[in-house]
Amino acid sequence: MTCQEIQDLLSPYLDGEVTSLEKQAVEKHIRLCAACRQELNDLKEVISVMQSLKDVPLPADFHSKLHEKLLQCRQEQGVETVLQQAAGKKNRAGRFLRTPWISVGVAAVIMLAVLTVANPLGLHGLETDFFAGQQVKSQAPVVDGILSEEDVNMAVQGTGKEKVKELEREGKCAEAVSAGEATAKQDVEQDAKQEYFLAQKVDENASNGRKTSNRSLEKKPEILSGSEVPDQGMEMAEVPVKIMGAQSQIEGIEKVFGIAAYNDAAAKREPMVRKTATLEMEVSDLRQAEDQIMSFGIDAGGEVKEVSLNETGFDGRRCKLLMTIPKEKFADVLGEVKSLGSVNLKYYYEQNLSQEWERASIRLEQLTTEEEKISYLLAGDGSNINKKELENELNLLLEEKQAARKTLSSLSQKIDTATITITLEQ
Amino acid sequence: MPDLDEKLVRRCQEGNIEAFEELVTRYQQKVYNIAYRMLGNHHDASDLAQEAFIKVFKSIKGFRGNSLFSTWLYHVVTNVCRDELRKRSRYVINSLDEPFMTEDSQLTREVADTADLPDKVVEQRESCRYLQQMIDNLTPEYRIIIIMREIMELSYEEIADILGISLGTVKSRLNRARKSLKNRILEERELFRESERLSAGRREA
Repeated sequence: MTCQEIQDLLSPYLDGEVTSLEKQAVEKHIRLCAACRQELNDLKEVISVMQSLKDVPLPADFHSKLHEKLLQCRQEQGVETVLQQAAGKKNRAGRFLRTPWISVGVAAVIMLAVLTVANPLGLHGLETDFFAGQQVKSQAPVVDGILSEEDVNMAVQGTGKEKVKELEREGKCAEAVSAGEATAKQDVEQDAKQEYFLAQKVDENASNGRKTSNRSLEKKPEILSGSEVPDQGMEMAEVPVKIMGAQSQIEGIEKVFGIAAYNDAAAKREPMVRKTATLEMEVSDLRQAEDQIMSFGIDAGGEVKEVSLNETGFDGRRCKLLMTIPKEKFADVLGEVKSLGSVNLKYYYEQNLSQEWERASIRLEQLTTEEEKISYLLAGDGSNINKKELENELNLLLEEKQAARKTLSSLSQKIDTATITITLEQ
Repeated sequence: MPDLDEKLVRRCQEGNIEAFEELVTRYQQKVYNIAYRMLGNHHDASDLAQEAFIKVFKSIKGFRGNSLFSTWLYHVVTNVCRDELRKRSRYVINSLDEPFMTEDSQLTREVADTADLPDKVVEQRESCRYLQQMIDNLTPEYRIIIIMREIMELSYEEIADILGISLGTVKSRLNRARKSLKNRILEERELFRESERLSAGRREA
C-alpha cells in the first residue's frame, strides 16, 4: 500500500473502523514509515484535543422557554383543528346561501323553517358569507349545515306537504316552497324535465317583469304531470322583499339556464381524468437512476423536480422525485421508470374531474348570463329597482366569475398533465 | 434506552405532551451542544436547539420509527443548524471585505481583552475559545462530522444514518475533516505561541 492509501486509513484505524487486514497493513506500515507515523500521532492529538472540549452547560432557562413554546405550539395546533372544523361548517352554510338567485327560494324556506320549526340557530352571519356558488344540484348535502336534513326534507317533500302548506300560508312565500321543492326533488333524483318545466314557468313570470312569481303547492301535480301550464289558478304570493333583494329579479333566468346548460353539457360529456402514480423503488445506483428519470421526464416534454423527503420520512439513503408530464406519455414513462429497478410499491390513481369541470363551466356560463341581465336592468329606467343593490350584486358576480375561471384553468392543467411521484432507495 | 424512547414517542403520538417533555429532558443537553458547536455561541445555539425540538414535536405524529428517535432528532438539529449557517454564509462574505479584520488583528484584540484575568482562567478560556474557533473555521460539512464523532462520540454507522450518507463517505469525510483540523491547529499553534510570548513579554514589562 502507498503512503496515501495508508493515510486514508489512519482516521478509521484510530476509531477502530477498519478490517483486520487493513489494521495489519497500517500497523506494519507505520513501523517502517516515519512520515505516516508522524501523521498518525498528529491525528491522535487532534482527536484528544477535540475530545477535551467539555459539554457546554445548558442555559438555565432553556427548558422553561422550550416548555412555553411547546404549549403555544400545541394550542395553535388545537386552534387550527377547531378553526378547520368551523371553516368547514361555515363554508357549507355559506355556499348554500351564496349561490345567488337560485338559492334565494331555498334560503327563504330555511328562514321559514328556522322561524316556525324554531331552530335555535340565528340567521345573522348567514347573509354575509360569499363563497363561490354552485347550482342547486350540489346543494342538498349542504342543508345539514343549517338544519338537519330531515327538517328540510320534511318541510319540502312528500310527507311534509302539509307542513309546507302551513309554512306557505304563514309566510306568504310560495316562491320559497316551489324552489325548495325543486331542491327536494333533486334530492330524490326525479326527472330533470319536471324541474325544467317548473323553471320555464318561473322564467315566463320573471320575463313578464314581475318581481317574483310563484305557484302554490296545490297546483303542482298538474304542472308536473300535464303538458299545459294553466296561467289561471296560479297563486301569487308576496315575497318578503328585504330578504330577496335584487336577486329575485333575475332568478327565473338562472333556473332555466342552469338546467338547460346542465343537460347540454351532460350530452357531450367526455371523461376528464387526472392521472397520478406513486412508485417506491429500489435501485442499485441512486444518482444514475435519478439522472435517467430526469432525462425520461424531459424527453417526454415534462419536468422533474427533486422534492425533499419530509423530516419524518428520513431514514437514510433515499430521494424523492416529482415528475410532471403530458398525459399521453403517462404509460410510456411509467414503464421506463419501472424498468430502472425493483418496484416495492406502486399506486396508480385516476381521479375523474368531469363533475367538477361541468360544475365550474356551467357556473361560468350562468354568471355570464346573469351579468348581462344585471347590466340590462341597470341600463333600464330603474323605476322599481334598487340600483345600488344591483351594482353590489354585479361586483360580487364578477368576483365569482373570476374564481370560476381560475378553477377551470387549474382543472384543465390537472387534466392535461399527469404526475408520477417516485421514491428511490439505494 | 432506545426502548424507553420508543415508548415515549408512542405516547407523544397519542397526544401526550408530558412524554415529549421527557424526551426533551433526555436529549436537550446533547442537542444544545450540537447547536453550540455548530454555531459557536450560546444565543444562536439556544434558539436553534429549541427550533429543532419544536420541529420534531410538530412532526412526531408522522415519525414511523424507521430509525432511532435520537438519530432522527440529531438529523433535524444538524439540518436546522446547517440551514442557518447557509443563510449566514452570505453575510460572512460581506464581512470579509471589511478592513482590519485580518486574523492577526483579531488575535491581538482577544489577547488584550483578557489581559486582566488570572492566568489559569485565561489559559482555559483561550484554549476553549481557540478550539471552538478551529471548529468554526471548518466548512459546515466537516464541522458536523467532527462534532458527531469527537464530541457526540457516535459510531460511523450512526453518523451515516443521521447525515444520510454512506459509511465510505463517513470514513473519507471524517479523515479529511481531521486533516484539515490538524493543519489549522498546527498553523495556529505557531501563531498562538508567538502571541503568548508577546503578551507574556508585555505583562512582564
